[in-house]
Amino acid sequence: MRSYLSLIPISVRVRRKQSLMTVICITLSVFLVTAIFSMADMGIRLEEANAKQKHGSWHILIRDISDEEAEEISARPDVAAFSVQDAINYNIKEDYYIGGKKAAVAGMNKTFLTDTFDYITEGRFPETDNEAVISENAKDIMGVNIGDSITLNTPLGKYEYTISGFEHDANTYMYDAVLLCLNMSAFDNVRISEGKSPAREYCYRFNKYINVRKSINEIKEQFNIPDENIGENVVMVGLTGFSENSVLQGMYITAGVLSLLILIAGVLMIAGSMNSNITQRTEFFGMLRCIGASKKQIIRFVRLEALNWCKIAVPIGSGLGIIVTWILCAALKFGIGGELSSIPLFGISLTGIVCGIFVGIITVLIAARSPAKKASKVSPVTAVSGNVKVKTHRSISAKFLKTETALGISHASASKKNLLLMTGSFALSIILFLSFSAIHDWTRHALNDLQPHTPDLSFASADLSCNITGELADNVNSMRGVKRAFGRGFKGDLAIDDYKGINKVDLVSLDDIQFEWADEEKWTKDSVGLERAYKEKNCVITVFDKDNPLEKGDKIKLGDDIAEIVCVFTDSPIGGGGNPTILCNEKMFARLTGETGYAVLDIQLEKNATESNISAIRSQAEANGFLLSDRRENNREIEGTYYAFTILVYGFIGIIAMIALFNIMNSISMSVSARIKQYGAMRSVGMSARQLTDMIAAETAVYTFCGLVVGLVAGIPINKLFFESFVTAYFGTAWEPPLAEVFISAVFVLIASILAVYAPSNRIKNMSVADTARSE
Amino acid sequence: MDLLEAISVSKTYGGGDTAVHALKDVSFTVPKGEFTAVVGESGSGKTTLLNMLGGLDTPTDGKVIIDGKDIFSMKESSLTIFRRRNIGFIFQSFNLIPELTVEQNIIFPVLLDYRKPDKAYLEELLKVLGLEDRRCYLPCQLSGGQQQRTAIGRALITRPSLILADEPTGNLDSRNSSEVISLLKNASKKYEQTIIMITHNRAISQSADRVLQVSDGILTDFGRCRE
Ligand SMILES: Nc1ncnc2c1ncn2[C@@H]1O[C@H](COP(=O)(O)OP(=O)(O)OP(=O)(O)O)[C@@H](O)[C@H]1O
Ligand SMILES: [Mg+2]
Repeated sequence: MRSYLSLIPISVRVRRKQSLMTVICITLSVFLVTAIFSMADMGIRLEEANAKQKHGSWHILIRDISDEEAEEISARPDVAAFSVQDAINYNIKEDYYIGGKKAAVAGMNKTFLTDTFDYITEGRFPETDNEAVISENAKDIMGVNIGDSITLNTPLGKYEYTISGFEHDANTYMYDAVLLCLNMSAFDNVRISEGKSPAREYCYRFNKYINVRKSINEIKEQFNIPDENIGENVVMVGLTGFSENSVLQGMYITAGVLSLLILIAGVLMIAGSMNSNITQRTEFFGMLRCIGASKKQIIRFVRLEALNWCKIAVPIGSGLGIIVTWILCAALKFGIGGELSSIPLFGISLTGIVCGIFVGIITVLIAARSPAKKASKVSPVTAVSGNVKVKTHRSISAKFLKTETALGISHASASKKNLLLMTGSFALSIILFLSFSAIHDWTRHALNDLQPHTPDLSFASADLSCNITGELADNVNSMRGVKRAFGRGFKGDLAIDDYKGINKVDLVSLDDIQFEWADEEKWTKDSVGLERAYKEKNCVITVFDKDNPLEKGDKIKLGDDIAEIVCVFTDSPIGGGGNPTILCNEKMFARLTGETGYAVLDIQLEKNATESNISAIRSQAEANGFLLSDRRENNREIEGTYYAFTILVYGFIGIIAMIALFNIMNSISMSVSARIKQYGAMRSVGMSARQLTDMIAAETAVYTFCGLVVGLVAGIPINKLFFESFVTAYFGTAWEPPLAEVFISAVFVLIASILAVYAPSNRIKNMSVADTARSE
Repeated sequence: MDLLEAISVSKTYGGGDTAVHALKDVSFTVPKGEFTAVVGESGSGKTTLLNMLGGLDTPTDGKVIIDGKDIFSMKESSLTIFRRRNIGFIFQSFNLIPELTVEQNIIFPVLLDYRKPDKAYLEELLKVLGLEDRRCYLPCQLSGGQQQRTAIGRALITRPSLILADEPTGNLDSRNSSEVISLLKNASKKYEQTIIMITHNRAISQSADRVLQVSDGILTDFGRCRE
């Protein structure tokens, strides 16, 4: 022994059982925070990987600058990678063909195809001017391979290339057309002979840990680039943490708030258990004071004693956190797959570990504050007299209650601090639950499960004219593997008489089944208006959009008719074009436009549809000159993300419930341990085990009641705040009192309290009377 | 020369109807090196008096002067250090730290003072206390007498000038009691220490240099028993 503080590790070893609860509390907090931050970290890595795959690994894209300026920007020390691309016929509206298929032509440097985007799936970048990389679907459609030659037919000429590789571009995959990638000089040859002007796009990726926002502003200023010529890769910029994007910021805030709640929960739990621990050792601290320990020394002693628990708890907690993260990642990766399959499997998150350790230590230090003060205030007199004084200022009033009940209630309210701590820890469970349920609502709104209307395939006429005939639609509908085909007519830029500053609208028709879905999927809450638009003449619907001034009740002149807007869609999959969208039933559409066909035909497949069914549909579409897009992979990803989030959210609710249960049981058990000597004395003078249980139950009931009141009073406003800032702000749904959640949390707390009473009273019952009196 | 001087010390617990006047205007002096016994009925105020003398509790009125210093005029932190260096306590219920061995228990107060224990003095103490071969034992492995001897060692290690003991033999049988008392006496003689001890034991009070009797908060000084 070198110092009085050497007593700590020795006494911890001996009193291991007593400190077990505290160690579990710390372990739990460290574990949770490590797991949350690790999962957030993995999520960010996943997003990064997916963002790279989907949107490319770049932060900004600049148009309309000279090559020299582009070079100059790329020479900046904060720029990590630079690439350039240009394209002709990217919207495949013009007559460029390869092997009879519509084709787009793109030019790029090597970085673009190999670093900024990881598109090459086979072969290599076209180094020479007569080589080309072609989109992967050409393999199936044209049966070509590396080394084969292909011919690009343009309105003005013909070009021959040798295939040097294949690429898979996630964005163009859906279209039934091919993409030809050339190096910059080969591309410029084509571009110049076709008489097109250049439309270069330069992509830049910044180094890690750079304040991207600042760099962007510097570049904008230095080169005088107007806002519309500079684009940001929102996801990538967001992942650097310097984003203005509010959804990502919301995520950060959520993670922060969650950790804060865990911190508070941890502090309350640990402070509670430490407090009762100190109460049990009053004599010891009195003795230390007697033999000359100063208050400061006692505070240091208690604090170090608490930190000493971290030595065991922190490694276990962070280890558990890492392992659970691995398990969750594996579950997401193999259980759901899709977009989530790029989640790292055995990733170790430094952020997670550091946050876990930080929260563990901070929790302990905060939690130790009040017990340490309490220990330092123990009067040295306690050591001399030997009898620990529990100060009771009031005598109990047993007039209306049974003595044991009155005793229990007086125990609960004897110490203000204890009552506060207990109420706090009960209330916290409820607050945690209520605030998390608001976040759950957010997920529900933000991520939709696949809804009934979701199509698997769709085909559209290239110019969105309504030339998919009803006959063709019926035909497709009756094909093998097709569950249902439904179409929409479209008439863009339909002129109307000037109204609220609008003179053009996009008119879209809905068929019966889509009207049904609109009701079922709550595209609008106004089912009366919807019904009118479906049945009545000259009743139309508009789609909510911040640039659309049209409102319910407005009357617009469509052709010769005056149409009334009877309903507004707030949450629909339709709309978003350049003009305000007006929806009407098919009859009205036919009358206004004279068209009976569809511009878009969506197809839902049977579960057992085979690939050959799909190729039959594809050839049917192609035979009629339409483009078929396959949405199945996309749908699977949406579904996967939805399930992943649902699992995560319910996982968290489960963990929170566990914390709450543990916390409540622990609190009661602690308060029983603190009084066990007293209980022993009561039993020895003839109190029955049953009366003892009643006494503990009465005490618990006081905590439960106060906790419920405080929890609801504090939790409901927090729920409202979260709901309004996460849900109302983005989706417009108004907050309603979370009655179901309140009910669930109340029932849960009640059940937990009953369990909490049962466990320790059982412990006392099983102890002999002498044991109870002796035990310390 | 007087080591300790109490000047009209009073202590009242509580107030109003339930006020307890535990000490009433107590004054006395104890010369250096004397062995003083405090006797009196249960509830008469002996422990209260001892608490005042050791600076564990503050009197309602009056002064306590130890070694020329008015202990209640000191700040809390300096009183702690003064107590650490000048006063040793021995309790009825031993109050040893159960996790520490005999030797560690004894040197604990020195560690609290951020000093290194004086090895030679420790050996000497262990020998005087007859605990040489028990130094590595835990308190639960010792008899009551041995435990109390350890507690005495702990009180002596800092070479305090004043030792306060509240019924140190209350939990011991008569053989162990007389062993402990003679040890304490020998030690105090050797190191010139003043002892004030509460006891119900007639034999012990009769062997004391001086007896103070407390009854109902009033102190009677019987003076030196043997000249
Ligand atoms: N903290 C306290 N609050 C109120 N009254 C107290 C307190 N401590 C002691 N007393 C009262 O002061 C009186 C003297 O108590 P004290 O402990 O000094 O007696 P004692 O002489 O040591 O008795 P015993 O021989 O039984 O130990 C008693 O009447 C007791 O009730
Ligand atoms: Mg006493």
